Amino acid sequence: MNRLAPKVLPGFGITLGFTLTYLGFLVLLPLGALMFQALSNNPFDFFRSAFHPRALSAYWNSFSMAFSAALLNTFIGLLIAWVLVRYRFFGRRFMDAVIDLPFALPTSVAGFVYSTLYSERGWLGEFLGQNGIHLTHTWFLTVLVLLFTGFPFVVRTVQPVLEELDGDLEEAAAILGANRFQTFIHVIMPSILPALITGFSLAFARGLGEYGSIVFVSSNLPYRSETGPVLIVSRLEENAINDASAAAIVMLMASFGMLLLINTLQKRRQSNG
Amino acid sequence: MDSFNGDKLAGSSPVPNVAAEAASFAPPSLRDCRTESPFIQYTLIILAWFFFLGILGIPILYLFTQAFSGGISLFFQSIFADKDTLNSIFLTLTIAPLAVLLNTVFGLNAAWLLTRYRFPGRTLILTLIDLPFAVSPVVTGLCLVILAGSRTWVGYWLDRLGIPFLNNTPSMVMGTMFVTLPIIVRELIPVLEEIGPEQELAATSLGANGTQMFLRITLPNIAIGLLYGVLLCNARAIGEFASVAVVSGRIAGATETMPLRVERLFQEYKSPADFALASLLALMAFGTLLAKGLIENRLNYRHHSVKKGKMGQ
Amino acid sequence: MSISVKNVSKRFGNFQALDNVSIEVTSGCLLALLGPSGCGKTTLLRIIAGLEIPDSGSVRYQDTEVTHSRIQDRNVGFVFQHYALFRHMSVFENIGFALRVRKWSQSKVDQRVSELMHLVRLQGMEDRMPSQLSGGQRQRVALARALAAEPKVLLLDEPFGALDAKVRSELRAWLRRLHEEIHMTSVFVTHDQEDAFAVADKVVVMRNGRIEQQGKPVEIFEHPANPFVMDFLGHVNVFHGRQENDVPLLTGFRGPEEGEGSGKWVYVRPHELDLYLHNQVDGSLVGTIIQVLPVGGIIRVLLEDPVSTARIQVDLHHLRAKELLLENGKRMWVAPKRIRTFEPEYSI
Repeated sequence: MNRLAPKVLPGFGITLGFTLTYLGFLVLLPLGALMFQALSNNPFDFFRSAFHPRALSAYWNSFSMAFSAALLNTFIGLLIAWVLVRYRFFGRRFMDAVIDLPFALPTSVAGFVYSTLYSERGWLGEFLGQNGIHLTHTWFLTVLVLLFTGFPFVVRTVQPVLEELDGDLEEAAAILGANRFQTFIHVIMPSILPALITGFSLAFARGLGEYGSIVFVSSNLPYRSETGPVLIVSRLEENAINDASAAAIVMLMASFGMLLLINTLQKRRQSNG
Repeated sequence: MDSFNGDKLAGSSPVPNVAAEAASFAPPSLRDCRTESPFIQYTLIILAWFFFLGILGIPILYLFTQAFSGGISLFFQSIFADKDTLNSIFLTLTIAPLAVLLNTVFGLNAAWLLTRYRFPGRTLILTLIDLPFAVSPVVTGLCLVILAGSRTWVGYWLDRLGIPFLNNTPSMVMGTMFVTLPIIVRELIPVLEEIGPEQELAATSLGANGTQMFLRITLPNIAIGLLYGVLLCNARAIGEFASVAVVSGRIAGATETMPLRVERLFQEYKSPADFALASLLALMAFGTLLAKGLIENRLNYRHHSVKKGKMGQ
Repeated sequence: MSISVKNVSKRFGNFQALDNVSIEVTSGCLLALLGPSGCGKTTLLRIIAGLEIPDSGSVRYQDTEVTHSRIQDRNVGFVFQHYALFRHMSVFENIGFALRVRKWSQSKVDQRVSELMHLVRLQGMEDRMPSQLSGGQRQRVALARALAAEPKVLLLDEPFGALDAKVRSELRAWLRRLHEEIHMTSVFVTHDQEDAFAVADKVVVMRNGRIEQQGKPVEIFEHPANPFVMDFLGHVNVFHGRQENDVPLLTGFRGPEEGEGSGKWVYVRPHELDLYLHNQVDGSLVGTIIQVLPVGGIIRVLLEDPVSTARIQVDLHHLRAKELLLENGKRMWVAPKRIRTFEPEYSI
C-alpha cells in the first residue's frame, strides 16, 4: 500500500501538528489525569479500591451481562444477516434499513423505553405480569436492553462477508456430496467466523462500557446488579474519586484488551483474505 | 473475454426467488443446491422477524404510541410548554454541532495525515484515535472531572483564570468530542485510501498549492464519505449520555441535554412528557437513518467503517 | 458411463441460454463444449452436473434418468473455473472433503488421498494451504478433489482459463495423458479452440444456446458446417467467387461495406491462399502488401485491395515467402488452393 512518495504532498507538518495537539488535548490529557490520580495514591489503597468486593461484583455483572447479550446477538445477528442476504421476502429492505436504529438512537432512550415497556403499566410488562412474570429490574431485562444497543454490530460485520462469499464454494461442497448442513458447518462457517468474532467483540466491548440504558432498567443495587460504569458514577457521587478511578483503570484495561483483540483479528482477517 | 461471464452470471442468481419456489411447491430435488428448502427459509425468515420486532419494532412502536396517546397538541405542549425541556433541546443543539464541527476539522486533518504519509509513530496515532471506542463514556466523564479537579495544574489554572468548565458547557462539549472522536476519521481513512494520492500529486505538479489542492481535488472526492461520517457523528453526539451526565452536574434548565432531560422527566413521573421528548430523539434518529439510506442508495456509497469491521459507534 | 442429454432447454428471465440441445457422450469419451461467451456451454455443463435444472428435456447417465435427482446423489466430479478450493482447508483436507462427508474411516481417507496426490503429482504438498500453491497446482488439487469419491463422470468448467500460456499447454498435455490413464467419461467447457482440439476426442461447437456442429476435431476443422464454425475455428477470408469444374475461382473482394450474408460468399483460410507475382492462375485477384509478419514457422502477409479497401490475410511457408521477395507496397496476385461455400442462411 506504499504507493506514494513520502511527503511530496504539501501539508505534512500542519496536519501532524494539528493531529498531535488535538489528540494530546482531548485524549491524552484526560486519560493522563486519570492515571495521575490513580498512581498518586498509595498502591495498597489503589488495589483495595480496585478489587473491593463491591467492585469485583460490579466487574462480574458487567462482564456477564455484556457477554450474554453479545453471545445472543451473535446468533440473532447471524440469523438476520443470513436472511437479509440470502432470501427475498416482504419487508426485507425495511428491515435492512431499520437494523441500524440502535446506532442512531440515544441509548438512554432505549433504556427508558425498555423500562417502561416492561413495567407493570407497559404493554409487555402488563402482559407478562398477568402470567406471573415480572421483569422489572431483573438481570434478564438488562441483558435485553444490551441486546438492543448492540443489535447491529454482528449483522453489519457478517452481512458484507456473506454477500461476498463465493457461491462456487457451496456448489463445490454440494457436488462433493455434502448436504446443506455439512456445507454450512464446513464451508460457510469458517469463512464468516472471523466476522462473527469481530461482531461479537464489538457488541461485547459496547456492553461493557454501557451506562445510559442500564441505569434505566437495572435496580443498580451494589453487589446484586450494579455494573462497572454504574459503580464508577455512584463512587463519584459519594465523592470517592480514588475508588472511582481505581475501578475506571480496571475497566479501561479490560476494554483496551478487547480493542487489541479486535485489531489483531482484523489484521488476521485481512492477511487471510 | 472468457466465456463464463455470459452464461454463468445469468446461470446462478445468488438469491432464489422465494415466492416462485413456494408457489410451485417444488420437490426437494428441484431446488438450487445453494439454498434451503422453502420450509427452512420460511422458518428462518419468521424467526428473523420475531427477533427484529421483539428487540426493535415493539419498543419503538410503544414509544411513539405513548408519546402521541394524548394527541398531537399534548405532544407539542409537553415539549414546548416546559422551559427546562426547551432549554435541553437548545443545549443539545449547541453541543452536538460544536463537537461535530471540531471533530470534522480533526477528522480531515488526521485522515489526510494517516493516508498520505508514512512516518514513524503512525500506528500509535491510529491507536490513540481508536482509543475512545474502548473507553466507557463514564470513564471519559470521570477523566474530565479529575482533570478539572483541584489536584491537577489544569484545574488550578482553570480556577485561577475563572474559566467555567465542570458543570458547564465546555466540559460537556469536550466529553462529547472525546466519545465521538474516531467516527469521522474512521469513515474518511478508507475513502482516502481508495482514491489514492495520484490526483493530488497531479494537482501539485500542475502548480496547485496546498489549499487549492485540498479544496478542488480532495474535498470533492471525499464529500460523500465526509457527509456520512458527519451524520453518524452527529447522531452519536446528540445521544451522548454517560460522559455528559458525569461532567454536567445535571442542573435543570442549565446543563441538561435532551437525553438527560428524558431521564429527569422519567424520574419525576412526568408522563407523557418523557415519552414526547424521547420520541423527539427517536424522530431525529429516524431522520439520520433516512439520510443515511439516501446517501447509500442514491449516491451508491458503501459504509466503510462497517465493511472494515470497525463500527464507528 | 455414457451421458445423454435430450432436448434440453433453459431460460434465465428473457435470456434463452439453451434451446433444445441434445448431445451424446459415449463412455470413456473426452468431449469439449466449445463456443463464444454466452453461447450456453457453461449452462449445459451445469445442467449435466445438476447445478441447474433444465426447463425441459432430460439428462441420463447410462440408463438412469438423473434430470431431477439431487446433486449430492449424482456423484459427478466437477472442476470449477476458479477451482473453488476451500481456502481454510489444507490440500489434504480439500481432497479428502468428499470422503469425510461420506463418513469414510480415517485410514481409508489417508490411503485414497495419497493415491490421488500421486496421480496429480503433488506428493509432499498435503499440508500446504491453497494460497501457497501456484495456479497449475491449484488446478490439479481441484482435479484430485473432484476425483476423490470415484465419480462416474468428470466435468470441467474452463479448466485452462485462468492459467498463463505455458502452464496451459503443459496442463493440456497432462490432462490428455491422465484421461488415457483413467478413461473416465469427461466433458469440459472452453472458449479456446486450441484447448478443444488439443485435448478432446469429440468437439461440440455451440452458439446462442444451440449446437452448430459436433464431431471429431479433424472433421470439424476440415468440414465446418457453416461460416460461424469456420470463423470460430480460426481466421477466414471472405470473397466473391465460385467453384467451376473443381477449379476454385475468386471473382472479387468483399468490401467492408457489403452487407452480411447477402448472396453467396466463398470462404478461404489464410493457409489455403497462395501469392503470385503475375496473373498466372485463373480466378486470382490483385492486392497490395501492407504488412509482412513472421509468426512461428509461417509468414503472415496482410494485403489490401486499394479499390474496396478489403483486407485479406495469407499464411505462407517461409521458403515460399523468401522466393516471392515480399515487401510492403508490392502488388501481388492472390489465388486460392481451396474454397468453401455455405448456404446463405448463415453469416459471419
